[in-house]
Amino acid sequence: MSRRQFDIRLSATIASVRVVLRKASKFAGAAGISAVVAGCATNAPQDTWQPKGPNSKLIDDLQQPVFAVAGIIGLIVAVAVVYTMIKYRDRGQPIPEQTHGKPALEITLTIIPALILAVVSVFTFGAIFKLAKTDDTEMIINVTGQQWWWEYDYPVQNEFGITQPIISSGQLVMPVGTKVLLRETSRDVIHSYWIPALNGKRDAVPGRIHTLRLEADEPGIYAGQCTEFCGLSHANMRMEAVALSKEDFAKWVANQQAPYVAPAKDTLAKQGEEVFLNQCVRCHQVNGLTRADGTPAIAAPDENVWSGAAPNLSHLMSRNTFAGAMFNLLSKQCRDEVWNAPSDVVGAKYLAGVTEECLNQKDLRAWLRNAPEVKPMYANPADLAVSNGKYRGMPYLALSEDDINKLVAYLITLK
Amino acid sequence: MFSTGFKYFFGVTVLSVVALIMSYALFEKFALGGVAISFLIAVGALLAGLLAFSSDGTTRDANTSTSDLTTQSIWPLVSAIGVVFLALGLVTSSVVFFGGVVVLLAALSEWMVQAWSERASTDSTHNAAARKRLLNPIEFPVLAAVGLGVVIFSFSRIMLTVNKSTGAILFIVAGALVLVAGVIFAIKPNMKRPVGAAICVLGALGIVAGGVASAVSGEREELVEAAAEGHFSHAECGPEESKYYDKLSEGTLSLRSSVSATVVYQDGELIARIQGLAKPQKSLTVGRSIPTNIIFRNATEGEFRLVAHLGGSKSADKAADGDSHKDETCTQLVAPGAEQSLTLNIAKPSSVENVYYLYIAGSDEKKIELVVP
Amino acid sequence: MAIIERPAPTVPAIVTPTTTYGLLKRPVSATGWRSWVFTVDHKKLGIMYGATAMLFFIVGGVEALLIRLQLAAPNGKVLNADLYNQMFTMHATTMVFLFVMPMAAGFANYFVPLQIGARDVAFPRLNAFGFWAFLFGGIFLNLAWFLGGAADGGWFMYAPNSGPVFSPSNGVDFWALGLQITGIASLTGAINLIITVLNMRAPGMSLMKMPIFTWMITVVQFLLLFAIPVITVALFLLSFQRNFGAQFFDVAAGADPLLWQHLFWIFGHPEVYVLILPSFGIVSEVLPVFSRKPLFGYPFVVFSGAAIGFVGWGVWAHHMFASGLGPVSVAVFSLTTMAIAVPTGVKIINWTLTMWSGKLWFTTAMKFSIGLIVLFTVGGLSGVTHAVAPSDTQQTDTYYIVAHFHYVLFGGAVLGIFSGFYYWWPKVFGKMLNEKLGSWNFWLMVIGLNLTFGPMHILGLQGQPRRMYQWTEARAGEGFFNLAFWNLIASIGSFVLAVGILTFLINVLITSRNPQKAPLDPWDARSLEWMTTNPPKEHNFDVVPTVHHLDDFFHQKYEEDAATHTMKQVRTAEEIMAEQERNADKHIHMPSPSYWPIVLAFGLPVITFGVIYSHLISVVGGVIVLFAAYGWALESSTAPDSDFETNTPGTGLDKVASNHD
Repeated sequence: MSRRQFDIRLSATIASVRVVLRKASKFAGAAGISAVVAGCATNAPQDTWQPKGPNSKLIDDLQQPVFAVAGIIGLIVAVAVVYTMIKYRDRGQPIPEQTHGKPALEITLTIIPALILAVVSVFTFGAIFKLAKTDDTEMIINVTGQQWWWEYDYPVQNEFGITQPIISSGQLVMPVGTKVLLRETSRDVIHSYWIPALNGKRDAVPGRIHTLRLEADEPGIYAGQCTEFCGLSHANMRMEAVALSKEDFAKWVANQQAPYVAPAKDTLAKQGEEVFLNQCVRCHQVNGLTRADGTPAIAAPDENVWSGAAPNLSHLMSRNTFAGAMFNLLSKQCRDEVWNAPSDVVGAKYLAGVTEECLNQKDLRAWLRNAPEVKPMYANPADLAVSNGKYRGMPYLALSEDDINKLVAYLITLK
Repeated sequence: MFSTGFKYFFGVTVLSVVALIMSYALFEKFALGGVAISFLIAVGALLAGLLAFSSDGTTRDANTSTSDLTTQSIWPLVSAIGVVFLALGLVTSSVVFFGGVVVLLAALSEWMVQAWSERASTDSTHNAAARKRLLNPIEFPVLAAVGLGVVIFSFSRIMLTVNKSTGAILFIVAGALVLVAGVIFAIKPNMKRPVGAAICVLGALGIVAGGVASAVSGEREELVEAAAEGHFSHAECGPEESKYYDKLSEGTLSLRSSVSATVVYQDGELIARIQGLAKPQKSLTVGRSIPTNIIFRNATEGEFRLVAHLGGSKSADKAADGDSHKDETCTQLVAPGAEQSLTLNIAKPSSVENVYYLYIAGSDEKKIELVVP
Repeated sequence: MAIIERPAPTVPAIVTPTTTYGLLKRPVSATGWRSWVFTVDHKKLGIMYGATAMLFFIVGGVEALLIRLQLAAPNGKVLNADLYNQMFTMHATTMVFLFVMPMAAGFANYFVPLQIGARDVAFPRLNAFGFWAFLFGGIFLNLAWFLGGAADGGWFMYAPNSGPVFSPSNGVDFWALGLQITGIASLTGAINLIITVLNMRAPGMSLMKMPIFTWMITVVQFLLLFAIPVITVALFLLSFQRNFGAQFFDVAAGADPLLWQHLFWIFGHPEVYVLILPSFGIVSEVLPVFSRKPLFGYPFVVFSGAAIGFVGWGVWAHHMFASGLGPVSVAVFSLTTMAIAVPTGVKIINWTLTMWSGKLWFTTAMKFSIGLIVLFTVGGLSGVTHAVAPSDTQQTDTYYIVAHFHYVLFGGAVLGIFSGFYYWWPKVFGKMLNEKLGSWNFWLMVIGLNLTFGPMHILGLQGQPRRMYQWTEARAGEGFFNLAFWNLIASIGSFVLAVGILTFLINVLITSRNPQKAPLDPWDARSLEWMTTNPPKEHNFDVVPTVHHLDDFFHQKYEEDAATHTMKQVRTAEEIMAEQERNADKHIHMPSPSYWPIVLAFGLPVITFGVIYSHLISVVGGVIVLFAAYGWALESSTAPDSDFETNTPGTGLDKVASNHD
C-alpha cells in the first residue's frame, strides 16, 4: 500500500469513526456512567459520588465530566485497537511499505490531548482555589488525630453559644449550612481526615496546622475513615460527621456545656465512679469529676500515653461511638434507627443520645475487659521499652467483671 | 599438599574454636570476647579455605631458597612501640590503648605482607614490586588522610585561638601562600621533586607548629565565655533586658507554617488573631500535648516580651521562688514592629485551679487566657 | 590494559609472577556453578537477573494473594493487623525493587549490548557486582521476616510512622538498609549501561538509529542515575534517625515530617517511569516485528520517552495533594501532571498506528503487547483523573488509586515484561515457548487482572480506603453489587491471575523438558540481537556489524521493490549468519571471570547487618569490602594467555579488553 493510499484510508476511517463516535459518545457516556452506577453499592456510607455539601459538590461537578471524557477516550482507544486488529490481521497480504510515520498526523494527535487537558486544567485551577478559600469561615473546630482516634475541640465562639470550650471525640458535630473550618493537626504520626460526602481529604500532620472546610446541606450522619496509613489500627480509625440543624446544634452545645452530675449515693453507678477514679482517670478526663476530698480529678495522660492524650469522656453518652468510632455505643437496631432517619428527625434522634436499652453492652464490655484484644494497639507493657513504658492505645486493665458492671453503670450516666 | 600459610590459618581456626568452646564452658556467656573469637574463626577459616582453594605457595616451598632475599625491616621496631603504647594505655587512658592497638595491627599487617613478598619469587626486584603493589594502595590513602587530618586540625586550632580580624588576615595569608606555591609549581614544572616536597612539608610543619602553640595557649576569650553561657538556660522572663537570654536577639523570626494564632500587642491591648475567626480574641484554645506555635507581634513603640504563664505560683513572686521558672516560658525582648514565635506544649487541662495565660512582661493586667480542654 | 606488569625477564625467575599473586588469579571455569557465580558475561548476568526477579515475583505474588485472601470477606482473620501491614509493605517493596526493576535490568543487560552490536557492557565486573548486590540486598530485605518481623510502614514509609517508637521492630531497619544495597546495584548498573550505550555502539549506529528498547533503557538509566541518590539520602536520614538517634523527622525537635514525603516522591515518581519505560521499550520492539512495519513515528516515541524522563522530575507532589501543600503548589503540580499525560498519550497513538495497515501476526508476544496498549490506557486515563487535584483528594489513598497503579504497573510493566519473555525466549534459550500455553497464559492473566483490579475502581470511588487490614460491612453499602461483592470478585480475580502466571511457569517447564529448537530467526525480526545464533555465542557476534539503517537486520533481509513499493526478501537470516561465520574475527578477547564482585557485594549486607545488631559486625563487613576492593583492583587483568586465543593488539578486536574496567 502506498503512502497516499494509507493516508486516504486512514482519514476515511477516522471520519467514519468520528461520525460513529459522535453518536456513540453521548450514549456511551451516559450508558457507561449508568452501567458503573448500576454496578455499585447503594447507600455506601463513604461513596465519593454522593456529594452532600457545597465543597464535595464542587469536586463532583469537576470530576464527573473528567470521568466521562476519560471513559470516552478509553473507549476510542479500545475500539481503534480492536478495529486495527481485525482489519489488518494477517490475511496473506504482502509485507507493508516501511513507512516511518507522518509528522503532521503525529503533531495533530499530540495537540488534541494537550488541548483537552488544557481545558480540564482551567476548571481544575478554579476548583483548587475555591476549595482553599477560608476567609468567609463561620465556625472553627480544632481536629487532632492520634493513634487511633480523633479529638474535636470547639474553641469559644459565642455566636454559637459556645461560651466554654467543648471537647469531644469520635463524632464531629456541626451545624448545617455553616461554613466550618477544621484546623487539623496530629499528636503522633500523620493521619488524614476524610468525610467523602462533605469534602476531599486533608492530612493531619504533626507540627503543622492544615485547614479543611466542611459544610453540610442537610442534617444527617456522614461517615469517614482515616486515609493516611497510621500504623497498627489504621483500619479502625473511623470518624463520623453529624450535621444538625442550627436549633439542634444549639441544644447539643448546651448539653455539652452542662455541668457534671455525680451519680446518686449508694447506687451501682456511684461505685462505678469509684472505679473510674481509681483506674480510668489516669488518662481519661471527665470534666467536673471530683475526688472524694473534693479536689478535681485531673487526668495525666502525658504520664501514661505516648502521645499525651486520651479521649475526654465528659458527656460520653451523647456520642454514638467509642474507641475511635470503631465500635458503636448504640445497639445495632438503635443505630440503624438514627442513621436511617430522614433528615428532619435525625437531629432529634441523635440528641436523644444513648439510653439504657440502646446501649451496646457487648462491645463496651469487651472493650473494658481487654481493649487490645478487640482493637490492635501497642499496649502490651512488655513491648514498651522503646516508648519509655508509655502506651499507644488503651491497655489491658485486669478489671473484674464486678468492676466492669459498675463502670458500665457509671458510664451510662455521662449523658 | 598443604602450604605453610594454610597450616597457620587452619591452626588459628582450630585454636579459636577450642577457645570459644572453653570460654563458653567456663563463663557461659559470649559477650565481646566471644564475638571477637567468632570473627577470628570466620577469618581464619576463610583465609585457610582460600589458600587451600588457590594452592598458593605449594610449589615454591620445596625448591626456593629465600634467605638471601630478606631485606631490612622497620616493622619489628614499630610493633614493639605498639606494644609499649598498649601496655601504657592499660594503666593510663583508653585513647593510648587504642592507639597502641592500631599501631600494632598496622605493623603486623605490614610485617606479614613483607615476609610473604620476600618469598614470592627469586627475583628481589619483583618481590619489592609485589609488596608495593599490594600495600601502597592502602598505605598512601591512609597516610595522606592522617597527614591531612593533622594539618586541618592544627589549622582549626589556630583559627580558634586568634581573634576574628587576625583570623581573616591569616586566612588571606594562607590563601596567598597556597597561590604562590601553586604558581611556583606551575611555572617550574621541571622543579626537582625534593624542592617541591620541601615546600609542602615546610608549609605543613608551619601549620602544625602553629596548631600546637595555639592548642597550648587555649581558645580565644569569647569562645570560652560563649561555651560557658548557654544562652537558653537563662530564660529570664522579666520586663528588663536579660544579659544572656536577649543576647544576639534578632528581634524577628518568621515561621514556615502552622501558626496556631498571632498575638498582637497594640495600643496597650493584647489580642489574639486566629485563622478562621474574623474578630480578635481574648482567649486562645491550645490542644493538650500538642506543640503549638504562637507568633507574637509587637505593634507598639517600646520593646516588650511575651510571657506564657503555665500554672504554678504567680509570676509576681517568681524572682524569689526559683521553682516557678519551670512554669513560664517567654519570647526574647521583641523590638517595635518585629515578630517572634513561642512554642507551647501543655500536658494538663486548664481548670479553675490551673489557669494558663499569656501576658506582657511587666504588665500583668494585659492577659490572653489559654484554654486547654 | 594490563594492570600488572611483568618484571622484565632479565633474571630468569623460578616462580612465574602470574602465579605469585595466588589469591589474585582470575577464575577461568567455563562450565559448572563457578561459571555462573564468577561470571562477568552480560548474558549470563541477564539470565540470573531474570531468574532471581522471577523468584521475587513469586514471593511478592504470594504476599498479594494473602492480602486478597484477608480482604475477601469482611473482618478477615487470615492475617492479623501487624502481619497485614508487613505484607502490603513487602508486597510493594518486592514488586517494585525486587521484581520489576531487576527484571528490566535483566532485559537491559542481556539485550542492550546485543542490540547495539557490542560484545559486552563497558564494565563487566561492575555489572556482576550489580547483580550480586541486588541479590544480597533482596535477601537481606526479606531476612526481616525471620528476625522479628518485616517493615510495616508501607513502601512509602512515611515519617514519623517509620520512626523507632512507631515501628519498634527491626523491619524498617532491614528495609532501609536493604534498599540502600539494591540502590547501589541500580546505580552501578545505570552508570555501566549509560557508558555502554554512549561508547560501544556498532559502527554506523547513530543515536537515532538505535533500537527503541535500548533508547528507553537509556532514559531509564539516566532517571536512575539521578533518582537513586535522592532515595539514598532519604534512607540515610531514616537509618540515622532509627539507629543513631538523629532527629530529622522528629516534630518535637522542630523537624517537619513532610521532608520525607518530598524526598521520597522526588525519587518515587521518576521511579514509576523507571518501572514502566522498559516495558514501553519492549512493546515498541514487539509491535513492529509482528506488524511487519517499522515503529510509527520513531523520533516521536524516542522524544516522548525522553520528555517523560524530564517532566517526570516535576510531578512528584501529585502524590501529596492531600498533604496540605497549599493551593499554589497543588495547582502547579496538577498542571505538570497533566502535561506528562501528553507524551504518554503519544506513545499509545504511535503503537496503534504502528499496527495500522500492517500485517498483524498474533503471537503470544504480540497479544501481550496489544494487551498493554489497552490496559495501560485504562491506567493512564485514571491517572489523568488524579491529575485533577480536587478530584484526587477524594480518590487518593482509596482502592481507586490501587486500581490505577495496578493497571499501570501490571497492565503496563508486567504485560510488557511477559511480552518480552515470549518474544526473546528463543533468543536467550534457543527454545520456543509453547504458543498454545502462551495463549492460555495471556487470557488467564488479562481476565485475572481485570477481575482483580477492575472492581477496585468501584471500591475506591465508593469510599474504601487502602492499607486497611480489615474492612467492615457497616461501610460496604447495600444491594447485590455492594463493596463486599466487589471485594470478593477482586480476590477471586487474584487467583485467576495467579493461575495465569502458573501457566507461564508450566510452559517454561514443559518446553525445557521437550524443547522445540528455535529457528535462527523465528519472528522475522528487525534488530541486531537477532543477527547471531540462538542463544548467542559468548562473544555475541562473529563480526561486529556495521549499521546503515534503523532496523538494520530487517533491511539486510528485505529490499523495497522500487516499482511496486512492496518489500521483497533478498536474503535469509541463515545466509547472513553463514556470511558472518565465514568472515569471523579470529582474535576476540573477552574479559575473564572474577571472584571479587560477589565477595564485595557480600560485604555490604554484613555491614548493614552490623548497623542493626552490633557495630563490630559492621567492621567485619567493612574489612570484607576493603579486602574485595583491593582484590578487585589488584587482580591480573586476564587469566593466563594459555586460556585464550591469541590477542593481537591493534586489530580493533581487543576493544572489549581495553574497555575492561
